[in-house]
Amino acid sequence: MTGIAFSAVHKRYGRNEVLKGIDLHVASGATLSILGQSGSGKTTLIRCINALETIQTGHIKVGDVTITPDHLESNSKRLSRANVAHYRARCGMVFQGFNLFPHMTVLQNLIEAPIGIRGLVRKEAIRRADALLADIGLPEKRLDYPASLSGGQQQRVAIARALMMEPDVLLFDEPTSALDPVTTIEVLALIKRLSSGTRTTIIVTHEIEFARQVSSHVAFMKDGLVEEHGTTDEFFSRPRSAATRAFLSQFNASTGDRHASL
Amino acid sequence: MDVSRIPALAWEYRYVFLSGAGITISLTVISMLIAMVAGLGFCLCSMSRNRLVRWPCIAFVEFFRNTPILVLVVWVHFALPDLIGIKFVAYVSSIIALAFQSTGYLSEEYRAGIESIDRGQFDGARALGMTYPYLMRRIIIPQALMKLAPALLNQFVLCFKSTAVVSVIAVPDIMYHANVIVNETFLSMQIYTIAALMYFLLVFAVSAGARRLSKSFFKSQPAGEWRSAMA
Repeated sequence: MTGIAFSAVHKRYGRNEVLKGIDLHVASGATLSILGQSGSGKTTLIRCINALETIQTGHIKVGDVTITPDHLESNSKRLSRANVAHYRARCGMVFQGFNLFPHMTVLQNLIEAPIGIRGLVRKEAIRRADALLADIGLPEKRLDYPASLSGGQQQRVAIARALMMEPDVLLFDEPTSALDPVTTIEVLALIKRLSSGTRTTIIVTHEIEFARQVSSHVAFMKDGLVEEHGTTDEFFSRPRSAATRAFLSQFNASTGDRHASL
Repeated sequence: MDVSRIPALAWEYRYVFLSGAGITISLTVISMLIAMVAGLGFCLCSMSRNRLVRWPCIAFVEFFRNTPILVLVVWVHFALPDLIGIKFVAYVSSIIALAFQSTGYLSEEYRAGIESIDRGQFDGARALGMTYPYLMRRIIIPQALMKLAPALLNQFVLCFKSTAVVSVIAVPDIMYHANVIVNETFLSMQIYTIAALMYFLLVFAVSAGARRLSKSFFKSQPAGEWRSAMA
């Protein structure tokens, strides 16, 4: 079980301060959606969780691992580079741009890390990959290259690739921003199905209606700070901050009915 | 200006020219094989965060890239032995000079190839728990090499043409034999024309063949087999 806690986390790129003191607690098994305008620090925030970004001050606790500005530690012991890599593998991440490996088939994309990093036997990895491919509805694409798949199919493969590592935490970084409305629906439906489990899930998204349907909690970010954070019910029915209300009201008018099919 | 004697002369000296062509081809192939491996090594080292690794590599690459091949061949054969105390035969000196220059060029090509890979590939690989050496080996370098196929071919052709200068240290390549024959026969126009045609035909055959090969190769498989071919 893996909860996540940010304490006074600051992150700068040069002089540009992107995270300005984040305090945020995500309970183990929760599904948190992070909303907010572009540039508010949402993506940076979740990239700090799997240490793709370093932080300047504060710390982040993810399960038994603590991320500090200059190293990662577990039980007060500093993690080696290899162990940092292993830690990352426990946090599956799905990117806006899919980031599938174009020189590998769908199947190779899925089994590369489980075999090479986890040391899984090839046969077992393939068995697991085929089960996942069947689950996401793309069993016939196993020997295709990513370039021959649609955006929505690529993103579903990317999700399956993250799941292959059996992560404790699953991070989605605007998973549908690069997709058209139709393929967005197929990807959101898959994420919705996955987030009902016991895994801790964090989704950075612009899909407000989707966030309302799948998350147990919602956070709203503005200018590098968490402006509002609460259960999904609280967040949508009784937003405390004026900025959150203003943000939500912009979208209430434009909520399409394309989510009806989710 | 008797052009009509060219075919007869070419036939008369065919064995000499062919043995020269053998030397030229072997110099190119051996130098390029060395350069393809060493170039990757130098490329990775010149991207290292450690200055003690990075700077000597950059210095090496820049020196051999920015020195004319004629000077390099002479320098390796006559100057380097005094510096390191080992004397090479001319053939080996030629390979060292050619390989080092190609290493310099290829190192930069490799670097451009690696830097052209989308940052998202690094993110995707790291997020799956891959360490830097692992993701370079399995994800980044295979993709860079695929992009580099045309540049590798280009360097191969450049190296081939550069081999002509090794005749100055008496390596018996095509050009060396041409000089020898001219000295005996004084038929400079005819003999040098034969030599030029030989270089042209060999380079043309290699580049046309490689172009056709890579075209059909890329058409038939969008990449994946590269990986297993190189694993």
